[in-house]
Amino acid sequence: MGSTALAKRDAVITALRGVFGLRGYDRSETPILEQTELYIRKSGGALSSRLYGFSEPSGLEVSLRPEFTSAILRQVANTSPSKGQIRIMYDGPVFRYASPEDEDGDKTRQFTQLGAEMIGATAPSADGEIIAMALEGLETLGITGGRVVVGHVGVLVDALSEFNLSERAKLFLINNIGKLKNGEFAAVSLKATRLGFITESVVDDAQAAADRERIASTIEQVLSEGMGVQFGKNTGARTPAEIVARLSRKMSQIDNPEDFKRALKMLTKLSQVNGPAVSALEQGEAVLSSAGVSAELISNLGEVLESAKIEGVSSDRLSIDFGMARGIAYYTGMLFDIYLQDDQSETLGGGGRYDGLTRALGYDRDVPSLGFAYNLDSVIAAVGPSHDNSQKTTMVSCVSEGSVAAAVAKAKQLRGSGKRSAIDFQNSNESSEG
Amino acid sequence: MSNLRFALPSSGALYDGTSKLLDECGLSVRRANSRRYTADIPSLPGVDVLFQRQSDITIEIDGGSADIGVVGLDRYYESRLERGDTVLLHDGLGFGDSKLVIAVPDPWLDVTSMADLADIALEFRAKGRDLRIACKYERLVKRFLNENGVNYVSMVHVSGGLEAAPVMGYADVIADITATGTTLRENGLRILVDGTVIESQSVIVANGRALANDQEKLTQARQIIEKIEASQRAKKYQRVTGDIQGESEDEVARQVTHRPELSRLDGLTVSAVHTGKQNNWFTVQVLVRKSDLPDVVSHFRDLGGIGIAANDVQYVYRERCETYDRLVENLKPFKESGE
Repeated sequence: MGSTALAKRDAVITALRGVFGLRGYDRSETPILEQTELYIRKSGGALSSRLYGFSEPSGLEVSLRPEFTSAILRQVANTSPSKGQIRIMYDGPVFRYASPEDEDGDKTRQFTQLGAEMIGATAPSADGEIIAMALEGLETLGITGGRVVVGHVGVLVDALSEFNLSERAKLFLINNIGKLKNGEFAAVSLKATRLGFITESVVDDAQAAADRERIASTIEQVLSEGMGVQFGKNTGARTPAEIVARLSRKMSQIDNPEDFKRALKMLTKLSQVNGPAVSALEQGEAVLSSAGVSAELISNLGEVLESAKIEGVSSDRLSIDFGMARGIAYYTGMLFDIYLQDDQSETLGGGGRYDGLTRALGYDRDVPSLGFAYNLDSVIAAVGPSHDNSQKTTMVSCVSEGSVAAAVAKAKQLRGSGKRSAIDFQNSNESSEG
Repeated sequence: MSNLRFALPSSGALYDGTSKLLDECGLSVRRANSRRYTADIPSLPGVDVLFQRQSDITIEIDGGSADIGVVGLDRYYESRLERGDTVLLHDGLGFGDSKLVIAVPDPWLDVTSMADLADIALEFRAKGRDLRIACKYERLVKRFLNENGVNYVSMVHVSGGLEAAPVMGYADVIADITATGTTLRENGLRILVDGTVIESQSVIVANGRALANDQEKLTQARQIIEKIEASQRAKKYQRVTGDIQGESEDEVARQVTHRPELSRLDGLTVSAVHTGKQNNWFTVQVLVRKSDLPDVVSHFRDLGGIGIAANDVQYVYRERCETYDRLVENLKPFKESGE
């Protein structure tokens, strides 16, 4: 990065730190190199396949950080729980591998994030603050066309919970909402059928039928003759007891295919609801009620949007997209992406509420937390050239000052009055260069 | 004059398949003896054949020491340099079909999907150890596992006989190449329903930079893929001939193409048969899809045809070679200006 680009980036970072700082956010830093463990979630594979990971000489698996949130939440969770909210901001490089086939395959492997976390706040007004701050930062930089598209994982989970589905089925549906939104209903149905969520005799293959029969007869035999008969010795590192225990747990959670299909239909409709906040909210409610579902969390979404308005965000900059989901199990509430005008091709950043993240990181309690991050490189690209306030440097020539000592003295004098100045040891004329 | 360096697998199923394919295409390889690792194609001067281990071919093409080569698609994806110079030249030669699959011990009745496996990995983790997977193609497998949420896993390197790993106790599950799944079943292993990492067959890959910037190499490569494409297409066709009586060539042609389902007949030729006695017999020649053959034959009979015969054809060419057109498109990013 050249000096002009760096100066611009520094100016942008300073301005954004100023905005967040005025709202009481304190800076925090986390290591670039972390134990891989920190980023390998208990569920979800979105990031783990993109890590720059390797074994360090000690044998420990380490990775370059792909994001900040996990490390910051760990920092907070490791300190004793405090009253009130903790507000933290951060910035620095993050690293993610993208293969050419990936959606963001044209992106660089290293990019800069600047973001904020609010920990310990449950109120929707906290969500409103985060959304408003994301837009406020852009405005400070002179980017007036910022726009936020809001979704809500909680609404989806809440709605699905009325269909008596297993966690596994719910996770499957939410992970596939992006596809449903894009009209890939058939592909999702096919996958659900292969995974056994939907069973129809037409598509049920002989293998699946044979498996079911075998499972039934095995259980029968285990019940009447005890363990060990059917299993042989090839159960590997798992004991027959463990297998049967998990099998019966799984069987007790078997989803009713009709319930699953109804849920899939409802979710497909809901995933396609998007647009201006007020009308989309109404449409979303209509989809839910026509499916006989009351998702109470939809009122939370309304409150979040209302809070953003109280923070001064005009309603034409807020829209809803129920089909948004990040496919990560720890998001629990609203989530949002920041766009420039109507350009949906690239986000300037995004965020959300992830009350479940501390648990996913291995802590035994949920800590309410939310936040967002800018993709600083996109933000800088959206900023006009006005932020380039790098000053010219006055060159002081040794020859024309008569001696090195004289030139040094003159340069010092200039610096004393706040001017950039450097000494030219060769040129005979004092000149001013950029 | 730069020769095109064509890397072929030196042994195994892909060697046999490649030899057969090239023979069928009239591109037989001449190899002085089976210990020689270089050879040529007499019908295509300007091509040097290099016999290489399959695992090396992609790497050699990436590195530019070979220009094009035959490899398994799985092997290509495993060892290629992403964003490197290698491009797919032909995406399916029709042999070497296999898939890379995740399989678990059959008695694990509760594990049928990747989601189950992710669950088991967590259970193992809770007991303080990682799920061990014995695999070939570690790069593809690791990414597939991660994408499916199987994150707590350690890879066990095994070069052959993967199927035994769970019984021997040095791995819990395996990722292996299978064509039919029989070997896996016989070793007490079961493929997960959504456990297919990649479906593979033999393909031709090429160094895009080499072809984009060397017209002679591109021309040689074109001849190879054109012949392969035409030969593959020809397998779907037969040429049918028969003698039909009629008033004129035009009239016979009208009768033959009368049935709408046969209107997609290719290369219809009608020519008079000069028997010396009667001149109202015509020989009809037509190229048909093998699936249409019974219909065409009975249509010929309905028209009073005699001497009906069907032959295999060696090549069927279209107006354009689609594979080549795609290649030219794919080569654009590699074109160096000034050459």
